[in-house]
Order: sequence, then C-alpha cells, then structure tokens
Amino acid sequence: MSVALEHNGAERARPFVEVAGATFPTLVDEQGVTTGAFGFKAIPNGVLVDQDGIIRYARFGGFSVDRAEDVAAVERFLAGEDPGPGPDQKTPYQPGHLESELVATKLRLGRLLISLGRRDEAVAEWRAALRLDPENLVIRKQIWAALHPEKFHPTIDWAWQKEQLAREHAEEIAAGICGPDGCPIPASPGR
Amino acid sequence: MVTATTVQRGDKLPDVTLPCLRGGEISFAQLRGKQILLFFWGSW
Repeated sequence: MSVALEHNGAERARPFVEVAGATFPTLVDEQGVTTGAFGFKAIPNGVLVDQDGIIRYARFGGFSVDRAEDVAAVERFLAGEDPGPGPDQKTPYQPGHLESELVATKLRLGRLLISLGRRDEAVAEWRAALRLDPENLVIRKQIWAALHPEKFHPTIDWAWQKEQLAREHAEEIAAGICGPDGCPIPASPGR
Repeated sequence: MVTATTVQRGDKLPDVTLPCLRGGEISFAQLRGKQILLFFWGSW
C-alpha cells in the first residue's frame, strides 16, 4: 500500500500511480497526518508491518528497490522470516514533545497558507519549524518547493537538492543554529 | 496525534485513516491479518 504525501492532493499523485501501473491501493495524505503520527523527517519510506499490526522494519528516507538491504528485508519478511534490524535512524538532536507538536502544527499551517496563496507567510512558518527541527527534510523540502518550483517540475533536480542541502547546512553551522553533529538548541523539559 | 520520536521496529502501526485514490477511505487499523509493505512517497 502506498501513501502519497501530496498537499496538492490526489490529482498530483494520480499520474505517478497510473504510470507505475500500481495494483495496490494508494492513499493520499494532503494534511501531513502521517508525518505527525509516524514522526518521520524524510521520504521515501518503507515500513513492514506484520499481521498483528507491529512494525518489523522501517527505513525513513532512502527506502528503495535499488537498496539491497531493503529488498532483502522485504524478501525475508514475505518468507515469514525476521526482516532484520533495519537502519539505526537516531539523529544527534531530537526535539522534545512540545517542539514536535509545534513543528507538526507549523507544517500544517504552512500548507493552509500556501493553499490560500500566502506563500511568504507559509515559508516563514516552515522556516520557524526548521529552526526547531533542523534535521526535518520534509519541512526543508516544503520550503524548497515553494521558493524553487522549477527544481521540482517537470522533473526533480536531485543534484540541486544535494547542493542546496550542503549550502543550507553550512549556513546553519556558521550561524550557530546547529553544530556539525546536530542542533544545540535544548529540547523542552518533559520530553 | 503527534509523536516526538519516529516510530520504529517493535512499535504498533499508528492508526490513521486516509482517502484512497480509487475512492473511499482506508484506516490502518483495518489492515490486521495481512503482511503490509507501506511505502510513503511524494513528487518532491
């Protein structure tokens, strides 16, 4: 089953599903409900779930048919075996619970503002969210897509994304927002 | 429902209900009894 994270909705997702000839269902997450519920900060993601609803393997960001570890995990899972431990995805900095709620809210607020044609306000909300959660590629890419739409349509410029990420990381380190290993802004208590 | 940490192996699949491209809705809680590969993607 696939989940398309498309704030422009079903019609943005449909052509990809048709080209792929997918026989499985595709769900459309316009509001970013799954980002909040699963807590992931990048896509593409693969999650293997057993018959009891327990997650057996997860990769958030970079899950791909071109990655041998992911293909092997799926094959073992389908054969009834343990898919394996999967990647260790802890980042050096984890926002606290309050920050995470605020980040999820700002992600949704930004999407609402974009839908109302208020792009600069949307980008401001997302930038504030990124300050709180600098490892969050989902948010970073919302900003990129809003400010550089030509890098996403008609095709995605992956080389540009890599360069842009390096540029932004260098700026964040220079501005003292983040250290080279993650963000020094302390999390809220009660995390 | 927002989680502060990313879900991981051993966790229950969060229950979310979303519209389906073919029409109707699916809730993750309905998926019990099957092995699932859930793939999240976007045109970005």
